Amino acid sequence: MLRFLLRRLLFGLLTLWLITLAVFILFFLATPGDPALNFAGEFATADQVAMVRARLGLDQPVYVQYLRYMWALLHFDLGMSFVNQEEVLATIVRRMPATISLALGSVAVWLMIAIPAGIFSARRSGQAADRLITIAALAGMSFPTFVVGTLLFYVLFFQLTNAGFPLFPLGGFVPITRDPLEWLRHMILPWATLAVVGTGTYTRIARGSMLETLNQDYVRTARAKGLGEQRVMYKHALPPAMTPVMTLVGLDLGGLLGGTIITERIWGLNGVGSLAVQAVESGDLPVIMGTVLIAAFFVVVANLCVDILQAVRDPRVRLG
Amino acid sequence: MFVSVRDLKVHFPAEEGLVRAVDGLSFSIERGKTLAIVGESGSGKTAASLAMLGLHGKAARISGEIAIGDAQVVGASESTLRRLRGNRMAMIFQDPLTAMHPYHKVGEQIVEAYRTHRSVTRKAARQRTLDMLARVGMADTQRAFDSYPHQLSGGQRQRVMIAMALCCDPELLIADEPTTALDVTVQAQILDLLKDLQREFGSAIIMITHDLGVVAEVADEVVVMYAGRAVETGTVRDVFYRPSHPYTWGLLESIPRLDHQRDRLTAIPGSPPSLAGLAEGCAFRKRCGHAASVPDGLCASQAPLPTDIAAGHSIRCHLTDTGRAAARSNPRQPSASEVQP
Ligand SMILES: Nc1ncnc2c1ncn2[C@@H]1O[C@H](COP(=O)(O)OP(=O)(O)OP(=O)(O)O)[C@@H](O)[C@H]1O
Ligand code: SF4
Ligand SMILES: [Mg+2]
Repeated sequence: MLRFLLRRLLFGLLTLWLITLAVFILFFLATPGDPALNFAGEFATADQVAMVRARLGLDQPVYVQYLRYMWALLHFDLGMSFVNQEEVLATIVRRMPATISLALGSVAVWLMIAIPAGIFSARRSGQAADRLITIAALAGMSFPTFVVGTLLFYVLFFQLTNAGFPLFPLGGFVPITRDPLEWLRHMILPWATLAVVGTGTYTRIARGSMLETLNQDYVRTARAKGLGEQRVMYKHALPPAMTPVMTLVGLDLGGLLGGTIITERIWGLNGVGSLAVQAVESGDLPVIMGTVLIAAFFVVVANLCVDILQAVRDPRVRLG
Repeated sequence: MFVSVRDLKVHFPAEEGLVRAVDGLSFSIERGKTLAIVGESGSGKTAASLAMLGLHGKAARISGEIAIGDAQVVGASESTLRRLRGNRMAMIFQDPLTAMHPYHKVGEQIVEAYRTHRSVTRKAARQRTLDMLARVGMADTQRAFDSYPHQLSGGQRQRVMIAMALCCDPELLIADEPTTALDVTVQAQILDLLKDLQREFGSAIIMITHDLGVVAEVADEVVVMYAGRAVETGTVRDVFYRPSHPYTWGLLESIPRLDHQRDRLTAIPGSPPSLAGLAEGCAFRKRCGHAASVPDGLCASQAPLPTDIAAGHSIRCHLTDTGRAAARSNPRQPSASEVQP
């Protein structure tokens, strides 16, 4: 187990390092024009540009620049936004609650629907209920997020509010620490927006995986031992069937924690996704770089967590 | 008779027609005896044994009669079947690695089987498991208990499966090719173990195999299956010394023997027919070299019925006694051109 953990950890660190390297090359070496000018922004005065050049060491040889960059990263220093002169990391951290609420909440919602639906469907494979669920899942998968979001906005916010039932707010974010109920009220529609596609995809994955597991020899053995159907399903079939689901959760959660652009925009959630969009619009290079690094960080961490969880569940992974 | 199977049919509806995996199988076993079911791949051996435990899914159409002592399997409720499975009859499978749960310790898997049918404390079940592990020849039982399936060797895994199957002291043990996945030396050890345990526990055993060597080693009675049917049924002596069905002749011919100089292994030419929508006539006729000696093209038009040729020895073949004697003295395999596709 320890060996496995160390190996995964090292692998995660290596991945992170490669990403920081790629980001360095992209932002410092491969961008056209003067990097100092890029980092200082187009409205910077000549003095400011010179200051940025000195601070980032852009007049130094490449390896010095790289070492400075890594040194800063290791101290969680992502630099300064030139739009509002705020620390990039502080800006991102301020935006995280909305993004985390959206990511964790929507994944939780779609898992809570998709896993039972997938199991139900697999157990009745070929029957009418299974066909219905499969069609619904396919439909859900094929709705683009912006269509779902716009529809939800129009029907559940606009029409409902017009009809005198302002159940859902126009948008915006209320931290859970300030008012949990309001937080929930503000999050439900954004969650639903992401969960439609997620539920569709995960129902199909869960169904397929469960079907495959139910055909495994060890499930037949469980039945041959005389175990009841519930025990066969939940103790023997379900845990292995969840492996592909978990792997996908790792990827999706990592991606969502890096920020969602469309959903945050529709529901006016000022998360990391909208921060990235604003940064691109204003050409705020330090912030763009920061959001890219944070997104990569979450993808690596989420996958690491899934790998560890898998090792806890499966002795073949843990003990090799 | 303790186990009695009468006219068992296991049919699967499929697009290309009804797949008759088992089509009118009958046999019986006494307590403490071993019946071997032999046949080529796809002859319906596994389909028959799963039917014995009532383990087929909803897609299978099952008819006939399966009696285990006083219990009926065909048509029994799921709760009745659950009380039988693992308790009065148990099964071990061809590949013990895939047949055990990869996430659970092997000891826990046996404990689970035991506690499903016996209301005992965890501690008692654990003790029983350790005893069973010792009984099947696991050296360090504590360590074996805490192992996961992938940490054991193939032979050890099959020993654990046997311990799991026998922990509730079943009256019937069905072994579906229990040694096929193992090395030859380990195969012999496992067969010896099964014989020992049978003597000790008095279980009846159904040994499913395509290996006549295994049959000779363990069986009292033999059922030779072809295309879902028993083509020859008899004692192990009947089948080895007085084989009476052309398919059995072919099987015996194909055993490599040390005392015979032979250029190559004579396997039976051709392959089993598709089980979907089997035409009338004898299912073996396309590979049989003796259909021509049966008058009126009977082999092509009528399926032979089981006929007793001696007490407890029956075959499904249209050959008459004299025809069979003549054919046996002139054993010939059909040439390749005679084997129709
Ligand atoms: N669930 C099923 N649905 C449709 N056909 C099936 C099913 N199970 C088995 N069959 C068919 O029934 C026939 C007999 O299969 P079975 O597994 O019993 O053969 P077997 O004698 O055990 O062969 P082997 O030696 O390869 O294990 C095969 O042709 C198989 O394709
Ligand atoms: S019935 Fe005819 S075809 Fe079938 S085994 Fe006997 S002789 Fe051969
Ligand atoms: Mg089989």
